[in-house]
Amino acid sequence: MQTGNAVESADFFTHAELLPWIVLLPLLGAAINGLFGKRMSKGAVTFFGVGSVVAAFVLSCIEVSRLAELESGALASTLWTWFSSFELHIDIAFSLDQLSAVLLLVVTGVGSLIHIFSIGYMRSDEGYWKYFSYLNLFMFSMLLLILGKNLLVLFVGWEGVGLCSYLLIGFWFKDMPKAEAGQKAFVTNRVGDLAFLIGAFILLFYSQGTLDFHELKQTAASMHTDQPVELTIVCLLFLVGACGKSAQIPLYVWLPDAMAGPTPVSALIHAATMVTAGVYLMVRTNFMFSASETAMTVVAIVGAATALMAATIALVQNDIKKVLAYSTVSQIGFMVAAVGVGGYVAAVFHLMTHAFFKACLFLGAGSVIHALHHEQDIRKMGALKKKLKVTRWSFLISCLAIAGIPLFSGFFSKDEILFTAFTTSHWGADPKMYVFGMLLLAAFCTAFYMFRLYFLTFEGEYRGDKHTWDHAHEETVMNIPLMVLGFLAAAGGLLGLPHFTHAHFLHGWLQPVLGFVKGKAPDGTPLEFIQVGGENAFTYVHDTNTELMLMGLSVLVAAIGILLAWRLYKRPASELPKAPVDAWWHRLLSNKYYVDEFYDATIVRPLRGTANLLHKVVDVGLIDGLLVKGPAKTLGKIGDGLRMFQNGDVQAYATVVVVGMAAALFFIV
Amino acid sequence: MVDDLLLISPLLIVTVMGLVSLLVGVFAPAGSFKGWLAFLTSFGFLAALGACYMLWHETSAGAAFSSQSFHYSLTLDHFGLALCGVILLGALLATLTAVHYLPAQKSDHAEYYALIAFSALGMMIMVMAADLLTLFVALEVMSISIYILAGFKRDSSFSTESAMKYFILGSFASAILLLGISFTYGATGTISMREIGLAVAGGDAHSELALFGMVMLIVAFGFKIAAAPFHMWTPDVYEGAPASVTGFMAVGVKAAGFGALARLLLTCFGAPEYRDGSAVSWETLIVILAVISMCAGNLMALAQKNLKRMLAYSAIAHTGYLLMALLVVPASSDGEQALNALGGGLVFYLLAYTLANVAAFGVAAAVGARGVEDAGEEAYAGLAGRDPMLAFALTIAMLSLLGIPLTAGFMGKLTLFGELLSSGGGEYLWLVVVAVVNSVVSAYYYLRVVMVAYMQDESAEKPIALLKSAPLRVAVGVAAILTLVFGIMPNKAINASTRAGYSLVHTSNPATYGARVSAAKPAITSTVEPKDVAHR
Repeated sequence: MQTGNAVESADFFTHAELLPWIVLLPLLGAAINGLFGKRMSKGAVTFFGVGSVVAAFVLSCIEVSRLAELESGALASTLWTWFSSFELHIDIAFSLDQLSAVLLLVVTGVGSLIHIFSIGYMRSDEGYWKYFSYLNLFMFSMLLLILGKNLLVLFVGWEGVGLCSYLLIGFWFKDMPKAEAGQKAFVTNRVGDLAFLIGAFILLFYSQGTLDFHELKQTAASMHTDQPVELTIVCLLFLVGACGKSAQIPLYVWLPDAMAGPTPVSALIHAATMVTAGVYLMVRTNFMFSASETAMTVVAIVGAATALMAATIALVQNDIKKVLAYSTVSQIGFMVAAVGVGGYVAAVFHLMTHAFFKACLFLGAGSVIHALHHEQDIRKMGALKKKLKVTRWSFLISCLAIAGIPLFSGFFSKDEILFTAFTTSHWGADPKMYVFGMLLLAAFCTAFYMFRLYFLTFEGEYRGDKHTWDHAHEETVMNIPLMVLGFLAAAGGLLGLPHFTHAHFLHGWLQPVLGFVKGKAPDGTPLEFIQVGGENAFTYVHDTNTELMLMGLSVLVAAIGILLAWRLYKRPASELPKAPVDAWWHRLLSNKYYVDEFYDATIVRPLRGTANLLHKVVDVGLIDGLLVKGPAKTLGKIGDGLRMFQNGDVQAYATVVVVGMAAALFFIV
Repeated sequence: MVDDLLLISPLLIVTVMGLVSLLVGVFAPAGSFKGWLAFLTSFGFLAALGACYMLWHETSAGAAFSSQSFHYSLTLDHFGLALCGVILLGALLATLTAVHYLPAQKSDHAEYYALIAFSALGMMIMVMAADLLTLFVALEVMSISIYILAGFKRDSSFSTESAMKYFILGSFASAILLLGISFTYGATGTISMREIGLAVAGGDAHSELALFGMVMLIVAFGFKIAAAPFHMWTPDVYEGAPASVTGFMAVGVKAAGFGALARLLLTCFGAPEYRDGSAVSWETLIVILAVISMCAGNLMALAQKNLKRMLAYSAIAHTGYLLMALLVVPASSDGEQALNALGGGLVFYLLAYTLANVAAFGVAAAVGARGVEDAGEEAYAGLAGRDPMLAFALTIAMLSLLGIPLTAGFMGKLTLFGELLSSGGGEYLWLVVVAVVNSVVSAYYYLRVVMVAYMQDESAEKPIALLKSAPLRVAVGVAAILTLVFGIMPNKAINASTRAGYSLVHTSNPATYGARVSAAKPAITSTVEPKDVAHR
């Protein structure tokens, strides 16, 4: 089987010599800025920091156009054999197929824009070179994650982005609480990574020494027939991994805290790229998820529940970045739910449009924060449309996109997710209506909180102090990325027009990766299938009437949300509604359903307590306390050598050794 | 005979270096700077490393001791040579950290370098020993040198206390070891590991006595490698001993202890009924030790604020991971499935562990050198601002110990866990899960170090001057860079490590007990003369 795979792999992949450079250029930029940046001029730092990412984007375009010309297969490039021991053989290798191509263009494209934006945002910061060095390092890891040809290279990138985001949150601020927020992010992520790793180990056990995605397809197919339970377990473990990285229930708690970092970082890492890695992982291993009905149901529920829960929390937040953070969690919930109902195309599509409009929103927020001298409370903003024209328009467009107003990008992608949830059946089961219902409700909340944010920030009356108002202004270098992203947020949806138009470009593009089979129902409705082991895992119904009906429904929901926000928040300062802070539901929401407190009480404190207890009993107790009459630990108090013999200390240790040995002897003989 | 001297050239070089340092200690004026001896000793270690490298290639071509030379007391195989290499590398780098550290501690004596050389010698003989008495003598050579080194700061009661503790408890462990050797001798009538293996596998041994011996040997080595619950001495000694010594003993003693234990268990007690038999088995014992070690080590490390003490608990946790390597049965060692071979995990993991620890203790030496010996948080808070290079090396070391990809530590964990999974037919999946969970928990305290070094401000009340030492920086830098190199391009090292693990099968007797699958009692040929079998 293995040699067969290898031969087939060789045929499948076309060599691409530029591919490694896409990954290496940002690393080079990071190295140059990291090593010499302190002594270089700002211009030089900008050249290497921004230039490397823009160059990577150009190379990406070249390679993707090469991919588009290929008749079949994908591009690949192997650098060296990482290691081979036993039957395990892992290369440092990259591959570019249709799925990674989408991600690649989004990451390098949006990444370039955010790098350009950062030139203005970070201009006056003394850590300018350091910032770009870290940002480039992040790009390197992210590209490794996207282009990795096997699960292990992906994992390297996976850990790398986690580490870089930790560094970027933490290194920036020199105070401990924020550093601890960074650490919380990292440790939460590690829980997900742990699940991911265990899943990979189990997979390795069944895959006969390969972790190449291309070859794992066969593994998944054979596991589907022989070890369905194990396959489900692997999928669920991967889901937990994705939950960590993509901030889904139950591991979403780190993302809102991670907003402590500089705003462009939030835009790049916590909105457009890194947090979607979990979704990418699940779509990448779609052949495994498709095969497991249980895992898919769990995925759908997790996604939909997160979408709804985060959207409700966002309703009552007052920090501009926190609103966007919960919005991100919620939108990624949409993507995960899409995966769960088999809408892989919809998930990737929404991932892409979300990258556009959310990056635009974050950069817009950055522009606002920059203009208002780091004011983040939306209650102290208002009427900013007079001062920040470009920001206002791009922000408005993105709000319309995320709310799902027709012709803006988010409308198409969100609609497709709802459509898939409504119509697609998995292994012949009924479509998951509850997913549809939860998502629709979340869509309503989204429209409301986004426009609450918009109206409070840009419309009405200014509510902050006058001095700040007078100095508020925009910068050209920050405006250009906003305009480009605003345009993409408006027009990006054209890549995936509704199915009845038969002009869904993304659908056709991703077909080689996802493997749709066209068909027809007895009554003539066009159907599509994804097959696993010759059976139809997913059945997609492309019914025009249903699609139009759902479209109307979601537009209606969005419009109600926006109008409600309009009525409530587009008013002079004195007439703004007071938040019902004492109402039980408001307290529940503003305390984020008490999830942090719950984790603290059930996990953090018991663990720390055990550690402290052990520390006390064994370290302090045995050494300093109970058995020791003269405290031997503290430096100044140690007497002469003789006393040490009498203090029982050593005897206690020896006793433990003897007891241990006795136990072992008793056990074994 | 002369050829045989060439075959032990690494040992000879190290011995000569030790003697030279001793002589210098006698003749050099008391107050003079002895740092140059460090360079000499390091050069000796480097030469010995080169000799090991040459022998590595000789060995595959069939170099072997002639039977009269050492009367079968030493084994020359890839396993021993690889571990000698790891020990020498650790000794080399740790020696360099001491150059300016000792004068700063007012303990600049030439004997320091002699003792380092002698203990390295003991470690190397330990991993090459082929009979139990050689093993014991080597272990004592190593231990006694280390006891003295731990108390090398004679005017610090803290240091001497830890040395005293280590000495007393170490003697205790030695007694247990001797008892174990006696039992084993009583059961089999021989001290040669290979012949013990033959007797045990052939059922000629008094099995009760042999079991007693086996358990005591495991306990004694459990003490040396700091496996819980025989680990109690570790935190006190690690904290009390001078940082440059701790760095050396953390890596050297562990490598030597694991090497000797692996050889002992696989050669003497590799027979299936001792290994994983239904009634008795050392595999179960090792599993228990592994689980207790990693859980206890990690949990206790969570509460530590002192870098050296934290690293001591981390050492216990890593003992837990490393013990898992003893359970690996390679799927194929040169075409045969054999119980008495190791996978590639152990040696490579030890290499990764050595590099990371040398770097970490090097930094501990640099920050704690002035004033009291103290590596508390305030000592390295804000290190990034004061010395970016040391802070970076410390970060690499922590990431490697934690097992982040692209560091050697990740590759070590991956190889080890992967091998364990594929070797036992999945029976140890739960153990791998426990280990992975543990390594996640360890993120908390390893990252805490990075966080303090980068994000906390230098403490205002107690500013501690860094030790300015070029050799130390070189050693720490080399360790950090090698950590990355072995993480990014580990293939050669892993292959060598695998070969080292497999080579055990040849030095013990491959014909005696073979495939785990055909666990039926193998035929024993007691007529085989020792020199006929692969006793190289």
